[in-house]
Amino acid sequence: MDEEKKETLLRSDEQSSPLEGKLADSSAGNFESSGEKDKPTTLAEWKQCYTETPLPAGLDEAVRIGIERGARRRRTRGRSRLAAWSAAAVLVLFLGSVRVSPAFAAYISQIPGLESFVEWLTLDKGLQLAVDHDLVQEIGVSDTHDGVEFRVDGVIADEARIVIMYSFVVKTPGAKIPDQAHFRLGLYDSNGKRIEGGYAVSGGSSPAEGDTVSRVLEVELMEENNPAPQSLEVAMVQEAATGITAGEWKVGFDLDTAKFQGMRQEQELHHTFTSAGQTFTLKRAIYYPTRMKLEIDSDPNNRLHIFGLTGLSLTDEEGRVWTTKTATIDPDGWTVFFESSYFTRPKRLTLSGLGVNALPENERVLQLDLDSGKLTGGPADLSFEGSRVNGNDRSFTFKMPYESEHPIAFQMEKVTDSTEKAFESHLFESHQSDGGILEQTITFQGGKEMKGTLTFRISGYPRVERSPFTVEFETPFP
Amino acid sequence: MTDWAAKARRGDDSAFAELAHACKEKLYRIAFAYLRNEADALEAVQETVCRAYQKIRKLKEPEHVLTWITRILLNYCADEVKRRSRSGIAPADYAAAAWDHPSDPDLQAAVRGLDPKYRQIVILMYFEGYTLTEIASLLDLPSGTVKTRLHKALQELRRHLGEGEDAHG
Repeated sequence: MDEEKKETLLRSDEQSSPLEGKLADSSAGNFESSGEKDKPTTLAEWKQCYTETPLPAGLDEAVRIGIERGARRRRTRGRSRLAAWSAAAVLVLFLGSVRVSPAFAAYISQIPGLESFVEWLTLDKGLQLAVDHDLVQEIGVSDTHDGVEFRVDGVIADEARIVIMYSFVVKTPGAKIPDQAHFRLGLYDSNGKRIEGGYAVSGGSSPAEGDTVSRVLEVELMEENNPAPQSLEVAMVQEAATGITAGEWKVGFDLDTAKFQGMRQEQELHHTFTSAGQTFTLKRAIYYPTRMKLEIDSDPNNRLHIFGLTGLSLTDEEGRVWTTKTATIDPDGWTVFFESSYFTRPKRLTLSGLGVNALPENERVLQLDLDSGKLTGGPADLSFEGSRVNGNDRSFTFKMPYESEHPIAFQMEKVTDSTEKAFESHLFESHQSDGGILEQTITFQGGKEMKGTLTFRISGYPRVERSPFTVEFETPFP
Repeated sequence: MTDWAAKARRGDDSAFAELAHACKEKLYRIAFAYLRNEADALEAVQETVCRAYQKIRKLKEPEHVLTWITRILLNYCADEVKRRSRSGIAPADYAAAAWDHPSDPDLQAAVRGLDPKYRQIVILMYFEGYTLTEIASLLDLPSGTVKTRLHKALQELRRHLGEGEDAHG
């Protein structure tokens, strides 16, 4: 609405009140259109009081925590899918493609503090190669309070990823390694200015019980954020539900960016392939020292709604297999991360997969009558087991067939009820029984208020159309 | 702001941070007017930024990003007020909101006497400069209803002020 109409609205209600002038003037003052500026006007005064609402010191912090919380939730929401991918990777690894080079194990064991990470590093051939090529940096800085030491032992980094190896050690008997932990990471540019966004953090979940725990935290830098920051600050915080910090361990250190500067190779690919009658395009490959990214698009005309491709791996011309650890899924396609072949410089790579994880579009929507518990629509092999109110939330339990070979979670992110009110899910719990059945409970925030018939939309389902495929492509390495 | 929104939608996190910082004061003032204390208003800003970050890729019209994010904030505030009234938490002291105390006693009485749903519209339109169409979209109301409420708000203000004036004069 323009200024003129506002004026009209204000003046349309002509009354002979002695205050008419007062209000009309004040409105004029507010819109800075006309009026006697020197005469204080009442609505304007109210506006002034409002505009001068004191801004608290914590406002910047609130924005920063909000962004971090959002990044974490976005990450968590994708995690059931991520977890499925990494579980698949682990399965492949146990089929026997891992060989630890004794030289590697010996080398890493010599670095004080890094010996506890040998086992973890051996799960990723690309990271081993990165260590072999001097990309590991020993850090060894720590912060101790309340009887517990937080120590960053070492870092492996390239332009897109920073792997932080850290430990918690109980120093005073009786002290406890914090539970319910969150990591808050501060990244700084070369001028010491804090970088507000552009990275996502994974790992660092609640430490196990015991006196020492060594874990790994991975920072994924978005492309726009390149080059990698020169200094890092890692804070381990216990965050209460309201965002109030309860306890914090903080260490800062510099990153030797010269070690990996320029180590990146990008390649445009336009290889189309099909699986289960669906068409996909292998769009781009980016090679970094610590891992490789493949971007895959799904054809918008595909009959099925595709959640993902299963059993992905890359094989080079010498038969070395590079497995996938994680994938992120965007509306436009997927980015799949593989162990890095950067240092082995293969000439050709073959992407192979087992099939398509998908549902026909019409099976994605299901309806549930809250009163009768009757389920309509959705996949025929899905059954509803019951619903429960927990506090303000409501959870639903479903069962469906499941193949352990394809560890994929059942997911629904949103539901609307009869009053068109929408609810978002925030908790997924799954339980896999021996008989190939997955039992999954999904909890919706504020779901206590749901009324009538609910409409769900499935965003992940453990059904796989088996249809192996391979795509071969030349790498950009000479 | 539209530029930042467009970039943020494509996954540019620093653009999102710029955007969030550009709106933070507005969001805080609106939240404070609604929730009436600093801690709750800060939490509202934090949660709004978080939800906006999660959903920014679904933003359809970057040019309307401010309305979009304000709507997230208002939804949060409304839920929060409902949640509190259900769990029996008393609303924060009215006196905590300094801007509710214009020095003009007539106006103070008028502001205090104003129905919250009218007050909200006055704040959004006259103090924060949202258009009638934007407010209708923000509050999920037909624009006719917004117009009526605006009218009533002004009428009520006039009535209070009128009474005050009469009493003084």
